[in-house]
Amino acid sequence: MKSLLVFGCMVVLCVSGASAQMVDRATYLKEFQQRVKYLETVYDTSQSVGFYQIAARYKLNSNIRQADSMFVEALRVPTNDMFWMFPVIGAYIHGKDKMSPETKAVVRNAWKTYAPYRGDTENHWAMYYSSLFLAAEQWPNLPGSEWYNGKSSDENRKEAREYLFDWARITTTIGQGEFDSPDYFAEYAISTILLAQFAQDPQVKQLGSMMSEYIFADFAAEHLDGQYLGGFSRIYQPAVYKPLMSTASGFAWLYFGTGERTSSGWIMVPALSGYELPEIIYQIALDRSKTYIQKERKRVRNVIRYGNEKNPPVYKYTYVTKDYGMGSLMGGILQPIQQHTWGVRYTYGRPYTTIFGLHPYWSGMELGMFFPEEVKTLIADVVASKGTYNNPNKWTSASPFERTFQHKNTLIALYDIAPGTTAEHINGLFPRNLEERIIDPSGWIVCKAGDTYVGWYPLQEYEWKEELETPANALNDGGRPQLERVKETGIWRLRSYKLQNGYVVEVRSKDEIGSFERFHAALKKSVPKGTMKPGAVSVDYTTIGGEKMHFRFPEERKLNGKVVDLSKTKLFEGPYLHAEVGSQKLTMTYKNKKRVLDFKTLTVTE
Amino acid sequence: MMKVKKNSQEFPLILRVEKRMSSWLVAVLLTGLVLSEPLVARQETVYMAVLNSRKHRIGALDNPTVGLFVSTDAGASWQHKGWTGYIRTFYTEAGSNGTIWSACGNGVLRSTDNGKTWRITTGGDVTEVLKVKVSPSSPKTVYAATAYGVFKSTDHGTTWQQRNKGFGKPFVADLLIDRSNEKRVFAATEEGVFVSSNGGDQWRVAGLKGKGIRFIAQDPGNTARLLVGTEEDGINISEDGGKTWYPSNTGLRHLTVYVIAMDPWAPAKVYLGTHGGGVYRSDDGGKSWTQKSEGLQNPDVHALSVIPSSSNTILAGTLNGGLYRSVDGGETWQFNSQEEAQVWGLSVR
Repeated sequence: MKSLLVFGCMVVLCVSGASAQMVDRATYLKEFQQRVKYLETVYDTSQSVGFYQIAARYKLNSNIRQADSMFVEALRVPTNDMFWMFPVIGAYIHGKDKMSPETKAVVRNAWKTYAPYRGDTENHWAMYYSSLFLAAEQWPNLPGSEWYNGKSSDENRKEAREYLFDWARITTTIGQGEFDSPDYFAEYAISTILLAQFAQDPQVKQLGSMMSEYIFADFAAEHLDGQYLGGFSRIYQPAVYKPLMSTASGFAWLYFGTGERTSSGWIMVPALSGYELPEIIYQIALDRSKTYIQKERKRVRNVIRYGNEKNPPVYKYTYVTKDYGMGSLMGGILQPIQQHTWGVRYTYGRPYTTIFGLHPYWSGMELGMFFPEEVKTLIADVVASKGTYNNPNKWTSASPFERTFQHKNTLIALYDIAPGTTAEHINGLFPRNLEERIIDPSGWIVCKAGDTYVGWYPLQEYEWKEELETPANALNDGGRPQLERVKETGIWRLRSYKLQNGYVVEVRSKDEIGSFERFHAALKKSVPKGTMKPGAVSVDYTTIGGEKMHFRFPEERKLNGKVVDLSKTKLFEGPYLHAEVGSQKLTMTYKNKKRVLDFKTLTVTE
Repeated sequence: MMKVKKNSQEFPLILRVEKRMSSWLVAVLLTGLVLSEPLVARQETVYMAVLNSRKHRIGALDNPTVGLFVSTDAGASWQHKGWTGYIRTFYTEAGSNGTIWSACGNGVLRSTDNGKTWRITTGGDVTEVLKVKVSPSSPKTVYAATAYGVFKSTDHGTTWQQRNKGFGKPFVADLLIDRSNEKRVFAATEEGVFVSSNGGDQWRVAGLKGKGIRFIAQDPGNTARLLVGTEEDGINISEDGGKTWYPSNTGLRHLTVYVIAMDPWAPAKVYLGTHGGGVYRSDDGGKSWTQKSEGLQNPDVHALSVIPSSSNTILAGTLNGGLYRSVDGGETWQFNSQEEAQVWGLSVR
């Protein structure tokens, strides 16, 4: 679906292998400008009619007449709702002093006659209101009859402003709703960068700048080699198992210099805007000289029924090294459809740089928690646009029957699945390009992915299925075959049909434990003890680091005999980011640098 | 001369209305309709809210069949009105002053010029509006049922106030303004039927606690008689204005009831739209039900309207199967329009 959402979106992936090294500010800015220049050139020379092609021409003052005619053509039949709004206002702002009066009139008329959908979720509202705010500033003092929604410029500006400040307040108080989404990072970054660069209202401009930093910092602390480290609120297939296909990885390339070069349309708005990332965020994103734990608190997207709380908390735990990161959400239904509860991602073996597991769950009740339509028909409605939702082989899912417990680089996942549930099995994804995938008699599955070693101990019997990723069996989220760009394809699917289930995952790097053989030997000495009965699913496990973990489904977590209380998790808690719940303040630190975003006073201090 | 179609034959409307003038007038009064033009010249308007089309996705290029459609010939033909874009129109209703209100994903829309121009009357805080209900005698008072509770305007949509006091969980699928006392409002929630005796300022449970309520209807001939459609609990009826309730599901094999419609001339004739079972009809005021789905190709009926000027003409809006029409009181159904669309709401004025 996302591929349809950006008019004129172009994607070119080029393979590059090496991880990026951190560079000084002058070099960074030089290389950043080179990346911007590359994007500008791609779109300036593209003859396709699209808003980014138009914006590039205006920005570069190149072939304005062609840009004008393209703009008129692109606006002939407006569509795409809030996804239409931001590129249109972006292109207009770049070109308003250069375009012909006739073109200007066509653009103005589009905002009078085309009524876009405001959407039903946080990313929609961010795009809608940031674009509407900018448009209302561009055309002030117009009566309601000159706007699609019947509201005057002043009314639109005020409503958008109010929403944007409210969104920032909630986000910096109890966390972002569509948090840490490799595929929806773009929607937020575009919205906030547009405000930061083009809002005339100094407070909104400052808000845009600060929120841009907020979400980039959030990404940076969980970034590795162009990848966002999970869990995630929302991610699409196939990006969930080919991490660099996510739009956030495009931003990582543009702003961190990591991942793979791309000309994705999603990064064109920021590239053309002139927005530059503060150095400290770049440094947080790149410096992996020390291993660290990042804890975060987010919020569930608005629960409109079948729940007791509108925005329950989400607890995220991520262990980050220079070779790999393992991250998890605590489990349960935290977001509909596209949740990625936990995963290991590493620097080896692009594009398949991840191992993870899940319970592929779907239900009308889950959807009814978040969408107002009738629960008995919601599944069919969702499948119409997200074809993998009710597929038992899907790779994204939230499940009420899944919980996790992570401590450092050890994770336990437990499942107590009700009979009759869709689906009655769990899945694990292991890329085919692993250097080793040893089925050890001890029960451990021992994997080697370059300098990252992963051990997976299934607590119930299971089977393997080799799945070659061909156009015939690799479904994208539209439910249609996904043509693959990379020949080295496929995965091993672990499947277990036991309803009471679980596994233990241990991850170590060469730096952490030495050789793969040593890791293998250590695992063989650490065999989990599980109880797998309905209503009594638990495991006791001593990690290969010697720490005792006890986990009983759903919420009993003990570490070395002490109860783990997730409710004390702060908004951000790690070596680089710190934010207390309710504080509306984010403190970034890197070595001797400190940068504080205070949303109560709308100030940035260093 | 306006005409109505009955049993495939067309009759001049004026003759039919004259013949039934007294009962028509009674029905008008009972259902809260207010005539603003000569009775003999009046032809009702049907408002159809098309929420979605199977082929449509947010941002998709094909977007031909969503939004508001209006018919002035008892559903024989339809004209699209207002925004053509996908803004998720759940329901549309016209007030006695001619103002048209639409419940949409974008908020509550208002048109005071018969659908030529529209204004979103609500702000960013009002979203996922499922129903909008206009006070019959005070058309400047409007209620909105939303996924986030009830909002109310007393100034024709200029300002809105949230009215959720008393709700545990505020998801409200439907509202009913009591014709006998417009301060009394019933709300269909996921936790039962709620009632307010002061225009929404305070709510309390009226019955069916814990049950998911989908729709509330008031008998055209007896304001104390209320019927509700539920999620998996069939039909429940109250004979005492919502104080007590009893289930009435004899013959009803599909117990998720999305919508209820009653014949304004013969309130004992009640129609239900169900999940999975299409349309049911009762000829004894809801005591027993008979499935009436011959010709319905889609069994999920979410909207129903009895056409007052031709009460054997029934419209049934389905979820993903478009609109069906019956001209024989539901005995048989013919596909009407909106292929593969979700016809979420129907109303008549």
